[in-house]
Amino acid sequence: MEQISEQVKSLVLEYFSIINAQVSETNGLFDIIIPSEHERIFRKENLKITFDENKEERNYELVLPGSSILSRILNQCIDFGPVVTAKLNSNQHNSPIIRFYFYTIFESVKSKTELIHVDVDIKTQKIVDIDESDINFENNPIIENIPADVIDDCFIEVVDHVEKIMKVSIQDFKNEISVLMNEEMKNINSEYEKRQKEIQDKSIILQSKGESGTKFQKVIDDAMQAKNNMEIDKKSLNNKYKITIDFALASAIILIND
Amino acid sequence: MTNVEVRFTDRSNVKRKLRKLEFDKKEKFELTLNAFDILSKLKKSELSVISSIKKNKQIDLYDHQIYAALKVKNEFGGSAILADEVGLGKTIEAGIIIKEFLISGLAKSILILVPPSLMYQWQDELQEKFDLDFVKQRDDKRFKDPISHELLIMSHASAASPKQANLLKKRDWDMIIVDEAHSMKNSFTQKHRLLKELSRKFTLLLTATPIENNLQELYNLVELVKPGTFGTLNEFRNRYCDDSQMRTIDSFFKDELQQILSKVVIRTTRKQVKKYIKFTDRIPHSEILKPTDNERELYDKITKIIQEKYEEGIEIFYLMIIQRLVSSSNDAAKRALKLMKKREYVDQMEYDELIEISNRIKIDTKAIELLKILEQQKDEKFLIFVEWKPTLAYLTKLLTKNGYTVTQFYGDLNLFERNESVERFRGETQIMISTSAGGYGQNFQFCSNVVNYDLPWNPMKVEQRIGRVNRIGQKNDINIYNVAYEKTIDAFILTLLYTKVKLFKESLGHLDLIFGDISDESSESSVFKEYMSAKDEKEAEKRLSAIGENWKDRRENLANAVEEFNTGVLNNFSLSPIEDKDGTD
Repeated sequence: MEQISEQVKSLVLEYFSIINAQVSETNGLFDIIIPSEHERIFRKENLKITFDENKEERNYELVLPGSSILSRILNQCIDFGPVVTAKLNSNQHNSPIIRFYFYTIFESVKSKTELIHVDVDIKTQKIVDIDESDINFENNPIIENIPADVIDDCFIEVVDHVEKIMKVSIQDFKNEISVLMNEEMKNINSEYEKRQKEIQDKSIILQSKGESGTKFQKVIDDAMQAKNNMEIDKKSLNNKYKITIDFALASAIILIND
Repeated sequence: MTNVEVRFTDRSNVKRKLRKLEFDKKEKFELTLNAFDILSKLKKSELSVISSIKKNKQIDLYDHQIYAALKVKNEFGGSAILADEVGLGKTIEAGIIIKEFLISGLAKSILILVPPSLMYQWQDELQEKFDLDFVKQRDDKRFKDPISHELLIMSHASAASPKQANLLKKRDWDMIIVDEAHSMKNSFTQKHRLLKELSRKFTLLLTATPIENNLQELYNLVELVKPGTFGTLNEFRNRYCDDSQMRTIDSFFKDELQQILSKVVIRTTRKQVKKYIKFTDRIPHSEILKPTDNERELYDKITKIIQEKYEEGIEIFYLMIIQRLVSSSNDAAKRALKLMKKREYVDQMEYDELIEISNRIKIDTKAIELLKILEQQKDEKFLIFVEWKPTLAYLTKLLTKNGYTVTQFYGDLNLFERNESVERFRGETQIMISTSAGGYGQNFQFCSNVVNYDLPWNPMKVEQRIGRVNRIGQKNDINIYNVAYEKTIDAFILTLLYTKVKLFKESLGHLDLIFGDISDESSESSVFKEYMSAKDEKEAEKRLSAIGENWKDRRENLANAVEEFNTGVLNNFSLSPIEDKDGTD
């Protein structure tokens, strides 16, 4: 948790720097003046925050996982959806490369996330693999002319590729959820089968006694009710264990040769 | 087979920016990647929200609450019956789970179903303690319909009404929480059927009384959380119950039942937490006062008019308000007189005569008694409850004039003003005067004296008043002072109803089960109707006494049933997440 607290502090302060907020610090207590165009995010002009759990000053809100200020900042950062340019140190590629970042969210009764990226050559529209060390953010290059339809075509390639490379992860997640679902489904089916058997036995006894009318109708109603319950439970189960996998386009870099 | 939906989304319009070649600075890029990294870590972390919750002064977290939340998230797959004994903070456990599931993205839409009298309390507690903004279906201007809100609180009854139920069934919820879930234990009720049919991923049922009559109730609740767990009801009865009435467990299968229940139910008892939670006593002090002649005359004359109007069949809503105002204070009685004149219950002459009597009253006899109480405990903090604003203003003026420091708390204060008022009370101010509305989520454990200057006519509301100081973290026994004038409706309610049912003496819990049909706020009128229908004082006493006896019986029967089941069934199982199961020192 300590490591994440440091990461949170760094993110929050960097965020305020980027939106040009005025930040002053005294002994771990931060006073922040929010620029007017960002006031709506925090619903106030001034924020008093601290990252130190041991600070007792009641006017200073502790920013940690779970705090509303952090939630708002994380949402803002995600909404930036930044697109940047960078240079490639090596000269291996003649044409620009686009790196797409996807924040993949696997959701069901369990949830996991993963940030992945895919690089595509603009000219050949082939998937390539750029090494991190090859990317240089110093002196961002100016890029003036990439047709929009080329971007679209590249994206289509990337989507195909993502589907391919994530197949195993998707299947693993599906298997994990299926195990949980099957366990519950087994219980529901078993309960239904046993209930049907109980009802059947009861109807045989009634028949043997020559019963008819109300008592027999009750048995039929019970059977209908059991079926109805089972169907409701199964429907609920399908909704409960439904899996959604969202590949959220999070950011992109256009990389060109130095 | 599980349904899988795969989608590619672009809610931050990255593609549009790329197509237009709009570029950002690399700092923004790094910041965004860092944000995603933090989000991923939050999902992996066991319980990421504890530190931030602990920092809130409005909340004291205890181990059994944290472990319960942890267990629900990591071992129970997000669904459980939280069945801690009364007063151990089931709402807090639910709050931690809600916050954790929201922050980690496991849940986005949450529906909370509660008895109507607890709706405000839930909304307030989630706001004050967890910084979560839930819309409630009643008395909340933001409420549109059940489909339009992601975080919603509804009453059990409203949710089960055909119109709302149909809307609720049309959508998927990530999590549904049911407070006082024993109201869903009968599988033939609409409420139970509705919950069964609502689509959701996670279910939390909160109840201190998962079984009241027989083990079928437990079976039915488990069916709502994890259907099929026990097989058919017959199978369950034959395997785990020792008698056809399902009132005792078969000891042969006890271990097996333990194993199954420990995957669905979490239950911590008071005994298990006595090491770190001090449970304090309530000490009631009720004074039935003799009013002055003027006070008597004013009360009797106004009550007579109300009774006449009641007999004429006039809508009782205003009549009740007037009667409650008159019982509260002389200043509130003046407000009652204005209302009577406005609604033409009195003519100008009668009004002038009654106002003249009221003007003769210089100080309320109840106020003199209050000053005596305060004088006896000069250094103690007091939380004084009133139902009406004129009484609040009157007492503030009177007590300030007598040298006491006073802060006010009422429903109309905004969040900032409320916090300021609470902090003043926590700090320098000796007395807080509060209306019943609002502040349920506030933490007043630093005060152990409550004064009911006037009385709500609904026991649930009285319990909620006391509950503001009588909660986990209170270190002292609580003095509860009640004052009422003899031969008034308030005196009857105090002595014949509330004292009889030991409302001031014990934290009752299961209030909805005890008071049943009067638990709804709209049913407060039943007491008023009995009072008004009586020919004379004696009959009024007899009628209210009968209600009191009925409540008393219900309370005792319930207490016996719960005790019997706890001893015979629940106490046989280890269902608490805390390690020390026996609670011995």
